[in-house]
Amino acid sequence: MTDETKLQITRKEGESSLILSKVRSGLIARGRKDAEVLLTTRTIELRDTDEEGHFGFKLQWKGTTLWFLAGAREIQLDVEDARKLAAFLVKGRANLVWDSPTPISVGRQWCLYAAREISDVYPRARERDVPRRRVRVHCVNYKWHLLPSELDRLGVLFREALR
Amino acid sequence: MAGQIIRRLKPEEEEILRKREELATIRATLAERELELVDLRRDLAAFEGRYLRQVGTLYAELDEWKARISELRARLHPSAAAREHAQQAREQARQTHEEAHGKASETRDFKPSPDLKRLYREVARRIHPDLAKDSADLERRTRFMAEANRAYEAGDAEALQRILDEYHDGADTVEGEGIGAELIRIIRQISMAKARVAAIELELATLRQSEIANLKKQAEVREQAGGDLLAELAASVREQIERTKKEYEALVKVKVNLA
Repeated sequence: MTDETKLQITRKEGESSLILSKVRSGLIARGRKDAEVLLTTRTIELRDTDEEGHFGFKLQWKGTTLWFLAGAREIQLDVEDARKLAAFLVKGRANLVWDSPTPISVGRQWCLYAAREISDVYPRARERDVPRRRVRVHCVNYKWHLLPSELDRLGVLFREALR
Repeated sequence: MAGQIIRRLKPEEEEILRKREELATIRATLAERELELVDLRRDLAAFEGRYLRQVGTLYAELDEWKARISELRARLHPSAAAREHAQQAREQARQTHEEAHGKASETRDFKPSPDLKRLYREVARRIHPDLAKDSADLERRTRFMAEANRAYEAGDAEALQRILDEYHDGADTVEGEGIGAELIRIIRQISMAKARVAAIELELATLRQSEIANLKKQAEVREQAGGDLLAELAASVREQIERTKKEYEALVKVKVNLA
């Protein structure tokens, strides 16, 4: 539960004025945060294999469009594998290099690694507050580091996309 | 009209006319703002009630499962940290249950009719305690206004009308003695009403920035896109409950195997 507060207004007995008091309302703050994630995930598209045999996700995230692509023939990334990959990402060990000069081999390596992970790692990793390293993401011409909080969010996005 | 004698108003009489007009304007503004405030409070409370019933109760269920998991883990792998974690999880579950099933969850949707709003506006304009002339008047107005608030929130137009009639018939609504006294009284009423309008505006702004107001805004945005945020949140929490239940069941199996 968070320490965020809501304002409660009550009418004072014998007076016309209203007094403001702050009370904890973690439940509302919790709904707000979850709602934010839900609303953000609306911009995700799960892309089917295209004519070139690519499979991936399109994420509209913080005003930037990211494509996470993999060659379907080589990797055979089915939904379950991808779910594991998402879980793996959130666990925070990966240096994910996608669309790098050797995307298939690197992607495959990570997917195979992820496939060995348990698919429900994500909620437990969050609960235990597993320390997360920064993840480097290369995507087309973009390259940047994700902070742990951003990584957390990315994991949620993946999970939602793969429902 | 020829030959008719027209008495010219004295300066203090002219001033009192101006002040009466000013008071009438500020009374109308005050009534409007008071209605806006009561509607916003009731609207947010109704949304909060809906959220707590639809989603909050599910969070309570989720936290209950999480607490059970933590308690089971503490039994499987006893340590001070595990016991502390279990206690925290149990406390969290208790708090969430209390919030989700508390009084706030009972508040239902509120859709006042235009007639009800008109009556409330009229009550606020005439009876508002910040327009009181003296302490006795303040007490009387406060009592009437509290009744009016209850009637409005209950959607009881007849009760509002009755309050208006009763207040109107009251002997102490007669205006005071002498022009000077009246002028002073009106100036004070204007000043108090202005202060109250400013206070209401501050309260409105604060309420609009509250967590529940922001959650409501998110729900409205989602609704415009054809979605139902509370239903989607509920579905998401149900999914988490299912996963947590499975985790609990897996732990129970571990415990049975160890035994």
